[in-house]
Amino acid sequence: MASIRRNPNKIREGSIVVDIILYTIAFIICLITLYPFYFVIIMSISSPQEVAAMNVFWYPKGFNLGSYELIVKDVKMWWAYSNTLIYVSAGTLLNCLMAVLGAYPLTVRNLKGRKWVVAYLLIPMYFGGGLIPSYLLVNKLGLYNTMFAVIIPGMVSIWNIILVRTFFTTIPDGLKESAFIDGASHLQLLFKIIIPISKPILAVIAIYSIVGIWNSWFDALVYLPNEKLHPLQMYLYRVVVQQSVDLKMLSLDDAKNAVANMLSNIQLKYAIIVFTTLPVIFTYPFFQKYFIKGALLGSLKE
Amino acid sequence: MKRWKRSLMSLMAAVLVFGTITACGGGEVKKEEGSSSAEEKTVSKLKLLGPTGSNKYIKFEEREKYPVWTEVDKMIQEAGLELEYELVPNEQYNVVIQTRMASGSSLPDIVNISALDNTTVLNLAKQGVLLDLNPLIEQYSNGNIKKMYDQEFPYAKKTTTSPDGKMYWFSDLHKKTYQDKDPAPVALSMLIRKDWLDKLNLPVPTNAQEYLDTLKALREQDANGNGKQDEVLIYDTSKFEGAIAQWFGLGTDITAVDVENKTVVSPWYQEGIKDYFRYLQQLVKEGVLDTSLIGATGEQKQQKISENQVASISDYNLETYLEPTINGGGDFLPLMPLQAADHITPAAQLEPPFLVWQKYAITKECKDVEAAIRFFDMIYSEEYADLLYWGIEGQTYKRDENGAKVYINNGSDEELAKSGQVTGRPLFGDTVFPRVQFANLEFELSGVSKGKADHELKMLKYKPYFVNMNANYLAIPDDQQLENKTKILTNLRTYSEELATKLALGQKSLDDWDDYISELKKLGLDQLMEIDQQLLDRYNSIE
Repeated sequence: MASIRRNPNKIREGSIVVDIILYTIAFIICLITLYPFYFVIIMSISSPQEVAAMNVFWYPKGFNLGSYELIVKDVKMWWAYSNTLIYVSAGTLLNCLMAVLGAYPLTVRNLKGRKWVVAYLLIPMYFGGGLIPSYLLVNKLGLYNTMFAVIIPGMVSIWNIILVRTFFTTIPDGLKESAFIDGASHLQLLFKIIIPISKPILAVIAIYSIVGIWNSWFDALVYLPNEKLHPLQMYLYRVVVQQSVDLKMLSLDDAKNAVANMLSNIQLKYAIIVFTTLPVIFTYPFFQKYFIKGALLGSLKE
Repeated sequence: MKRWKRSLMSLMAAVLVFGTITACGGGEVKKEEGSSSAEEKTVSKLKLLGPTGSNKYIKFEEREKYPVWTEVDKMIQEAGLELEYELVPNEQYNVVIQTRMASGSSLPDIVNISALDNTTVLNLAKQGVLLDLNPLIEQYSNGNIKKMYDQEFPYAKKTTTSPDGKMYWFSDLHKKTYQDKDPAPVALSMLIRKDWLDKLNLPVPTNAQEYLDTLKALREQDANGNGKQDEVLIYDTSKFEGAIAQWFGLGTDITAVDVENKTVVSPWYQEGIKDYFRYLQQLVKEGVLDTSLIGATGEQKQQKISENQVASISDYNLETYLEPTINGGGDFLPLMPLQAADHITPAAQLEPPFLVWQKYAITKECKDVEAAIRFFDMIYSEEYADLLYWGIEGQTYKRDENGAKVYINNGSDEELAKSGQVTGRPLFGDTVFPRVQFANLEFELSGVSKGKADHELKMLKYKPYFVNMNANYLAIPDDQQLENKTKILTNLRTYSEELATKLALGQKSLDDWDDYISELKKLGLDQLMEIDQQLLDRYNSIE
């Protein structure tokens, strides 16, 4: 029955002026968000002279892939790339595993002193030992200058444990009890029942740690003097730092070398930024929905 | 069943990843063997820790392919040393050395501690982490170290002797001479675009007023021809280290060393200071001084230069690195110190012909101190100095008609890395190998325009002058002096820089001068000058 009666609650559509305003606002916001990315990309492909003069704003001036050529040909970059992959995959796996193993006991009802443990966990969340004690620890454990130095200290995240614990407490008790009645042990319960239904929270943790580890460089700076173990971000850090030399502090001889270095690096850093961020940008759309979930998870407790 | 399989699989995956890590992590510890000479009967092993060089093409890890390294390697073997290098990427070295020295664990025998400031180093020395070198030199040296430190570089001891009379580190030593005898300082001058002057038929300015007029003319007549009046002077008004301040007879920093008169001065107390600010105000008012670049980074200034907008900037008179970066090319000419105020002879700003920098120390972990001294005896030999700075005769350098050494230009670093014709400096200088350099002016002059060369020759004997590296003339302060200095400088520097900039921009009036001076005094300017005077006196008293 096609009725022509107007629905008074219907949102009015078709006002062109409002549309234009909304689209303009959306466009401006998009521009503000995307422009830095765009800027880096056009800087990385423009001709080096224009880049050095900072003349590139809206579109690439000249065309030159020399910087990319330099990077792709650099064995160190590929080393760094493969290292980052190792750090990310190992770190993420361990992070998830530790979070689950740490969180589950804290949800077992008749575990004595459970509350104390939770309270105790909060302390290191707020207070750290500082750089030198951490360094001493890593060194004495024999992790210094090995890949473990960046993987193992970051393995346990208390924040993740608390997130997972909160999620676990939302799982109905009936489910666990029925498993016990069927004769399951705690391990069976955890791995066969709880983990399969906890995929959303694990995905969230996984993404947080993937992005976190992908972007981290400070641990490598402190603990990994061997450049063959450096992750990608450390490689980027080195290019950027190398450039910021105070020429006034140098003698005439050294100033010559520093200027040459500075110029060759100006464009290089943009190309490397593109190279290092692209993989993460590409994975983002696939994981986006989990990110939103992640922001909400743990925010409500029954 | 399936569930079990799946968890088993993921566990196996985890194990696999672990396995990969172990394989990579364990095997790749970066320790490279240096020379290995079996025939020597007493070979001493030393562990050295330092940063890698910054050259992208000429790398220490590929040293074996360079003829200059073969020569150095021979020297190491002759000294009966077997060196084990641990080189950390130089961008990372500061952090690594700071944490490592602070924790005092896993130390090498010889370490490059240039990244640590004097306080940290002296504290480490107090804790016994670093050894006092004087008794070791007395006991073990073959005389090379003393010869370099006492005869060739008489200034070296003065800047590296601690307040307690001990010496905790060796240094890079550099001297530049002309005609094999005269010390040759290079100057930091205001540079002006000579090609623009020629294009617009303007004469080279000979006093400060003409300089201002010339900059105005370059701007008004659109010297770079882009249709805009954007030709500027880059000058940092917050500090006194641009050469214009010296035209008014001012020192180069809040406190500056007057080397000839052996006194410490402060520009704030000097006669030309008010005229200096009046002059800067004029430069600002006429729009020639780019105020947006006050306090800018090197990169920002470089952009302006590349954009072909810089008419004048302060830099080394013999620089050749700015011109190639200008879009469309150009030519900078250094100006003589220009007469700027009545009764004041304009001063020059010079880089001292003797430089002492970087720190290389022997740690408490060193069991064979005799070998460590042998290493430094090898470093402080003329043969090594030659290899480091000049390389190999016929390959990297030759002698000109007067017998002075000049480099053979073998092309860019990239080409040099291919041909192997490099000197020691880019290959191993500043890593764990100190730099000992006998530079000469002859080569510098051969590579620059006539205008620059003439300027430099005139500057050789120019007086009065101030130096760009005041610290090179001050002895190392003791704890008390250092604490006071740091305390005073934190606030004083900020105030001085703000005040100088505001005066230059005309935001503060010169009429309230006495207020500013009393504020500077309150912040400890007099006390600071007193401390620096003490340090200068001690510097001059060290034999």
